[in-house]
Amino acid sequence: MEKLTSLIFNYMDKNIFTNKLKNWLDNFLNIKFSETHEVISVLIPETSLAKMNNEAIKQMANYSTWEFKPDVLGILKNKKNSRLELVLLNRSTSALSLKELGEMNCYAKLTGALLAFVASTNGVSNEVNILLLEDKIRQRVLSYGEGQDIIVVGWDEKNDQISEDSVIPFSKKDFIVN
Amino acid sequence: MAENNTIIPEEAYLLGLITGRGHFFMDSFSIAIEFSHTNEFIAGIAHCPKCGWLATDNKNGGLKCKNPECGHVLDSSVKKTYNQPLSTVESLKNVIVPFLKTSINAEFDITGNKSMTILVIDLKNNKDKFKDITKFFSPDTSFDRFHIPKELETATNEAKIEFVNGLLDTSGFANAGGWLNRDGKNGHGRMRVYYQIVRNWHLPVEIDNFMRSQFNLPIHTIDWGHPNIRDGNLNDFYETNPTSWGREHQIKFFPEYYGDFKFRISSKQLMFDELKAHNLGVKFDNTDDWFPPSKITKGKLKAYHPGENDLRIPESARRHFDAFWQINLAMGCKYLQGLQSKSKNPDLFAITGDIELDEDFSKIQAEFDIIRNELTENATNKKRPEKAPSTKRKTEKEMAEQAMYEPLTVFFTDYLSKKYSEPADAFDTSAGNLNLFLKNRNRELLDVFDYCDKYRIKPDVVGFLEKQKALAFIEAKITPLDLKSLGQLMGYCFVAQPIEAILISTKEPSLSLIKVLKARPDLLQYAEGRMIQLATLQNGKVNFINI
Repeated sequence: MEKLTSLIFNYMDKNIFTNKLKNWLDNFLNIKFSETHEVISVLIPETSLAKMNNEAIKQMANYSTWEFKPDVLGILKNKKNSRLELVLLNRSTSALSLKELGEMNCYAKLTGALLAFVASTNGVSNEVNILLLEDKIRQRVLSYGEGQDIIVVGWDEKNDQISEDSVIPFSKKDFIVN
Repeated sequence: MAENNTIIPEEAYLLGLITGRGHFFMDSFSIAIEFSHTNEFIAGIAHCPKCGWLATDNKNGGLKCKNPECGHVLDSSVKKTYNQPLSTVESLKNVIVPFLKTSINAEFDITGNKSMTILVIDLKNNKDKFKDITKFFSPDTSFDRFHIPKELETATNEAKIEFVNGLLDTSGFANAGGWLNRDGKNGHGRMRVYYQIVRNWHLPVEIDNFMRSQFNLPIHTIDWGHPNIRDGNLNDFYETNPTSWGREHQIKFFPEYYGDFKFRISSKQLMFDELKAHNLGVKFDNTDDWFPPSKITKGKLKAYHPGENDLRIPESARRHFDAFWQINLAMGCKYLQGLQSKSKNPDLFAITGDIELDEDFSKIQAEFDIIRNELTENATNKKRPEKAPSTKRKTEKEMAEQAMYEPLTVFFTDYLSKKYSEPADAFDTSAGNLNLFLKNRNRELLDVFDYCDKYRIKPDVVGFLEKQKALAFIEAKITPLDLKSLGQLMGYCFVAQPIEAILISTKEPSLSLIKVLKARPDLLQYAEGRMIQLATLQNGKVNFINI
């Protein structure tokens, strides 16, 4: 049904998009963190993190309170101190609103995620885009810890990659696309 | 500005961009400029390969030559198509930013989505420049209130042209569909380009008057987003959408007179070139300028429209009009004011456009009134096609949530006024963004809560404490509260920092949420000392939940 609807309305099937993002995240983490971290797994969770049958997750503090399911999950191990760290990614095939950003802020705060992404094939809605250009509002909406910001990305369907001009905050653009 | 206080061309271009679609972020010393492209692709125009006349969409698909003696049918693929988002980004990167950078020292960034590209100019390292630029528009901070900077009147001709170029890049649109039914020497159809002005009621007349006074150029018409202009016979009001008139204003002009100007957005320039070449080829021998205005005869009167008193319309135009130029006059057109001052009876001129007429004003007004009332009655009683049932049915969930809003509005008004010992008002704001709710339905509150103008957010119920200019939010659910619903309200709270925020459900919160919040109560915090409260609405009573 999703496939049929996506064909009619010309948007990408959600499962296809999730798989593309999983592959992108896997590649991204292996390139960016290979020196400092071991990428244990990048996966598409089928249940909430609290209920996942995953040895790495079960070694993490407070995992039983993580009653949510990100669309894509990365699990990394810090080579220096062996600490396990999470990368969360949620996706949408419509333009992102404050709902999705607020939701990810809760998840990222709760887990103390190393990185938190929200991705969409339609970028951020025009209303939210303008709001996020104001420094103070952007910091409040995206920040989930000391120096940690949710990273918002748009997906370029034609070239099957992150759209360079979609990354928010701008300061993360180089980190994401280069 | 240059040392001698004249505006340099790059700066004039930037002022044009800002006037069209700019926002200032005063705390961040940055400027955002919107480049709207609602449709990803736009198609150009087509000409008949046999006779050269305009070919337009045929009912049966394809295109048909407009020449009645030809009527050749051709394929739509002959039209050129332009990718708007792509050309906007490329033009910004390769043309506009390099041009601005030659004299404006700032960080430039580009963001956006399929329907809009935004240029962000960060002047944190050049705060004096930021102050210089904002001063041109002070005290306003967004394009829906900006005026054309008066300093442009004494600028060089090159700077004035660049100002218009900037205005065209943001608010100018060249589309194939905007042509006028006119016969020229070599064909049919006169193409028009337009400035699209969003929610700003003084800019259309300012642009019209600027183009006349500085360049002596004609304007064909101003299509005001006013009920008498957009829905003069009340068809939309009774048949489709009662507020369809509440759209942008369009200032329409003929491209052949705009040879001195250019778009830097390549897709816009290419479309503009197509339209201009068509008009020049067809050859029209008059300017078709709206000024001086056509007289309003009895046959041109319009029905009264219930939307004439809508709060979205500024006071000076919140009344009945029979012709678009009357709104120009109401909004301060200096050319019409000049004509009116020379007329024999200025009051009569305002309702007829006749400078020679000098009769009893009340008699003519009464005659017009009778005709307008007849037209209104006819429009009201006209037999119309049955409305097709809306395909946008509300889901049961939406209806159940909506049923919560009224009791919650009553509760919130009482709760806030008691808790803060001051008068409070609460409204169901679920239908649209908070800024539009204030603009469209409660102008008095907008005067007090002017900072909400930028809040394009949609909480279900909003409380207003006027004395302390504070907001309070309620988000209502009919499902057990969970982290997802908390995150949604959190998003609104991060933006607007309300004095109170309550997440209410008709059901008890999920145990998993309680478990999480017991361990991490900080997840409820959205500002220093401010936490979202959880509550249930059961049997009409709101019960707060202690975590």
